Amino acid sequence: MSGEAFTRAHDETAEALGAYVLGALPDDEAARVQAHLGECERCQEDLAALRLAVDALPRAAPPVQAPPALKERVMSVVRAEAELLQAAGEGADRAPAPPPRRRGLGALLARPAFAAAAAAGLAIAAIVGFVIGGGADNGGSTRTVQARVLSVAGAGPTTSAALRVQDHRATLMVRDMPEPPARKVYEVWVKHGAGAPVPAGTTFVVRSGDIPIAHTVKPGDQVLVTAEPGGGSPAPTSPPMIVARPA
Amino acid sequence: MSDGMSRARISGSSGDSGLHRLADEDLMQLSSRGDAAAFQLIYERHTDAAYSLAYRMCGRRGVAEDVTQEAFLALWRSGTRYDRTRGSVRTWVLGIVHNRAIDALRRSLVHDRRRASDEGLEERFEARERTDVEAARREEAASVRAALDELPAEQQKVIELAYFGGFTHSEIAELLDAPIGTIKGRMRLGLEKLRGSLGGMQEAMS
Repeated sequence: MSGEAFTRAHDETAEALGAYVLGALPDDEAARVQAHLGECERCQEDLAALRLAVDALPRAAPPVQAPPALKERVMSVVRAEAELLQAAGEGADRAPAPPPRRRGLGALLARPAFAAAAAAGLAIAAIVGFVIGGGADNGGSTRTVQARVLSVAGAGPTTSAALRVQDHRATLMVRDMPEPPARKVYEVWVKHGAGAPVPAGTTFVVRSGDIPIAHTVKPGDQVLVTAEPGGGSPAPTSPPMIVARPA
Repeated sequence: MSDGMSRARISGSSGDSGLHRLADEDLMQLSSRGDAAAFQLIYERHTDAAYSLAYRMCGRRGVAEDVTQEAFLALWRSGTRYDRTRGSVRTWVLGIVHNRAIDALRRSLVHDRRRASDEGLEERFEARERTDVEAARREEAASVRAALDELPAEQQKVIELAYFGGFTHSEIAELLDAPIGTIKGRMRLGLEKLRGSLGGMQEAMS
């Protein structure tokens, strides 16, 4: 950049820096400021000083007590996702690769699919699992559990999933699921204990319907659904969207 | 910190009294590994400040709740991005709340986002002085408000419209019928004065 161009960019940035740090610049102007900041130490120092003032501003808001119910709203989602992460286990999203080091949100967040979903603020509908039906049916025990539907892009208020299990044969009942992502299908997995999820031999693309699961499902197993490339995958390549735990 | 990290686990309970002794930054590390109990403490420590900012900006209880919820869930899901060298957890949380509130304001109509508090003052902390920490924060808040009040009125106004109102400089210029260059100048001058009057308070708060 020529000296003249630098000086021009510097002057523009110096004038706009207050608006920039307050978030009051339109995108194109903010981008120009950012570009200049990358090459001007003086403006970086000025920015740091102004930012200290801006960081103090939220403390000027009159103190208001957060509604107690909000805590449960937030924590119910957090707990469901923590459990989901635990359920996904170390094997999720790890194709035949080196052994995983640790499970956890950090690992999941490092995955592009999860990070992208989180960044996009995708609809998160955490429906706490509970038994909604059950009893004897032809001598066998039939249990139906509501499934958790998480991180499904395009999910609406009526999106739901439930799992019906009779004699270790399970049927996943989905309602108003969004279309799978382009060139992908929904794939069902069964996870037994702390083991890695295994393919249930079942994929689907329907938005609403009852999907028989080929793999047996026993008490304590978890049934997961992820979006996978057409034809399915040997191991999940995206975070689970649906989790069901038969009672 | 290694001791704290070794306790990392996935849990929905906040019954681990050891967690209460951990600093925010250590709790964030646990939270980023999926520890719901650690995250709950972060929530409890900062939710009132977060909600206060959201309410101040959005002016409506329901929107403020949604903004606060979105912000904390974003924090939970992006904990790995927290960088302690760039400020306190509180500043980080409030930054997320501010961004989310701006998004909410800009999604709504300009006329809907005046700061008319439509729900009265019943939620205010007037009779609430729970802890020394709370008292200290009230003092901080009073100091920042006093520093803002000391600014020339035109500088205070543009800062508040931009920061709490989510208005761009051109919107403010139109609202105040002043050139954009003037608005930018007031913003910078006002922030510099604010920084000066706050003095070393910021470091003490961080």
